[in-house]
Amino acid sequence: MEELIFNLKTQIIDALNLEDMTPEQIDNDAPLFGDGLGLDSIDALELIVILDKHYGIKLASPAEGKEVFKSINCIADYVQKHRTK
Amino acid sequence: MTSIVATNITSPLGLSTEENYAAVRRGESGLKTMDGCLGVPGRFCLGIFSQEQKRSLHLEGFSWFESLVLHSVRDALSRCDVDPASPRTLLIVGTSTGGVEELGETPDKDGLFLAPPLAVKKVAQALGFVSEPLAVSNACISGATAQMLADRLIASGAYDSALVCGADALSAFVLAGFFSFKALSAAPCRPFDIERLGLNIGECAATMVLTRDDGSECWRLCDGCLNNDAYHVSAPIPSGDGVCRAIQKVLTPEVRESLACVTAHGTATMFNDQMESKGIGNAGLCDIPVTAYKAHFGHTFGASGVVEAIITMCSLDEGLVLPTLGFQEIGVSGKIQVCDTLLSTSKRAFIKTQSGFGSCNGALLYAKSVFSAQGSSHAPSSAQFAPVPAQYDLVKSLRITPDGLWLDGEAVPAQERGAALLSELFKARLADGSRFFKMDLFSRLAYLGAGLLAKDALEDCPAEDIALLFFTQNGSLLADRKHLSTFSAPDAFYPSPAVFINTLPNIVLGEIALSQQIKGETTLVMIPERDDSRIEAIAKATTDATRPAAMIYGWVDCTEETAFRAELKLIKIKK
Repeated sequence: MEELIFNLKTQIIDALNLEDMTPEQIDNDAPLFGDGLGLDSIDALELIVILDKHYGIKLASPAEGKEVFKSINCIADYVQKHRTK
Repeated sequence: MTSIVATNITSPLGLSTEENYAAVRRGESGLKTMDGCLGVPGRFCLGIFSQEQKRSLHLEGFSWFESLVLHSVRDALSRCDVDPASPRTLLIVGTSTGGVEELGETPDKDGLFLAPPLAVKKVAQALGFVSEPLAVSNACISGATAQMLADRLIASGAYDSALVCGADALSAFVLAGFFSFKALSAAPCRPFDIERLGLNIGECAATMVLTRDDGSECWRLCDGCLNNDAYHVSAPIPSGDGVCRAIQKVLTPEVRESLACVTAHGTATMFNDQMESKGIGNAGLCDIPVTAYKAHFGHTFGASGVVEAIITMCSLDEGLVLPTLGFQEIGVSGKIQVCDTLLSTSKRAFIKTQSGFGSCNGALLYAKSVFSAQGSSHAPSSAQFAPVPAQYDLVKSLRITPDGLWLDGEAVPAQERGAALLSELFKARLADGSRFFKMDLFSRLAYLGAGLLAKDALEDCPAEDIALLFFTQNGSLLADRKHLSTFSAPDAFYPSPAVFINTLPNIVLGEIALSQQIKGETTLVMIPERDDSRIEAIAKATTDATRPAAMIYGWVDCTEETAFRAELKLIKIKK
């Protein structure tokens, strides 16, 4: 699980161009949108691409990902249960 | 104010205005549902030309986009006596992506690919134009922006006539991008309907011939307003503020009395239609029928502002307001009357609204009559009532190249060179918490330049009165290549919305507007090469027509990580 979380953080930093950010700086439980990492609607769509590209998970819309994208821990849980690669 | 003396629509519904209007009048749709398209997987509903139509339209040696523009402009020329060989005739093309379907991932593979202004130049030469053409890339409001620019350049005295073509071709490039935005409906779109599921992409070229108004009986582009809502580069502002302000600017009591309808953008995405209903309703047009044609053509991007205005001219010539195909039950909360049945009217004026990525909006007013009040509240756009030219002071200027930054001619110390220089300057001088590091190089360059000029310099200017006017040749070329690489490899179809958004070169204008709270007009003009006298002439025609309190304008271009240049100025109106 720890490895998965680290990989997810790295993939997010890379895809979302979070300049000068390291995986250690992202709190596993902090909200990704709003106050936490401050991600926006385009980033939400980008998270869908990350899940598809690296884990073979297909979400139809950001609405479907709303619960999943709450925090790094939520994403990691979801990926562990639903990943196809 | 300019007269519209001829038109053409080249779409899957037909190759002339007459054919297209007849099809729309019969309630026909050019949308087709298909599984997989242009190598992009999934079920799509698209306004796409048939193979047979493509065979007859696609010209040897020209890209598909160029072929569409050629056909549309040539047909419009054949219907009027405007001479393309006169230096006083301009060709101006509004397009969101131009001929990007020909782009290869490496420069050598390009073949037919030309940056939009060069593609337009090729078409202009093929049609015998002698003046240097222009392209405008303002996402979905490109067609409306091209009309406004043509109107101003005619008013400025530089030209007597302009062929204004709005055009976009369907490509895997655009399809994959909107797929990643999850904005596509697999069924025919349903503007303003409670069950709307998103947009359908369409391809089309549509042309209007604008000439200096001579008072004859014809349709006119009477007035228009373009602005920015400074909300978000891809999400429409929920209040509809931009659309509302644009409408209010062209709406005098006399205009209101004459309005037959509003022809809305109506893309059938959840957010656009909701936003637009608020904007139209809040502008006080609750009782004016609203029509939208996206279920006939799909969303034709750069063409939409031209093709949809032409269809309404045809319908009002018959004394009709057409129903909105696909609409059944109201699904927006703004107080508007979506037209769901054929209405007869004796009125001969309408407003066309447009909104697009980069948070830009527009409202254009067309009529068969001349409004007496036009120009009383703001600068008139007709040469007959030519205003005293506004005088501007140069406040600041800058140059950015891979080798450094110069502010008002003085070199600013910096360690880094090339793309890293931009990051260094951003961190040292702006560091405004924006999406800077999510931008492509072109956007970073323009954003940094505008930010450095705007910093502490715009406080005394009302947000609605600050404008951006940028010129480029290659625009988003680097982002275009990157986007292509996200979906063109076999078995690796992962188009990225963050990359795709940067392929619209006007996106950065939205980023700048958002961070600086600029709510005036924001326009990206594409020209075949850097030409400072031309940039000054277009900037002057723009300030004369719109009189912003302040404007940031100039050249921004990049072709490589190590080859870029920005030459920007901040001017303010003389007090």
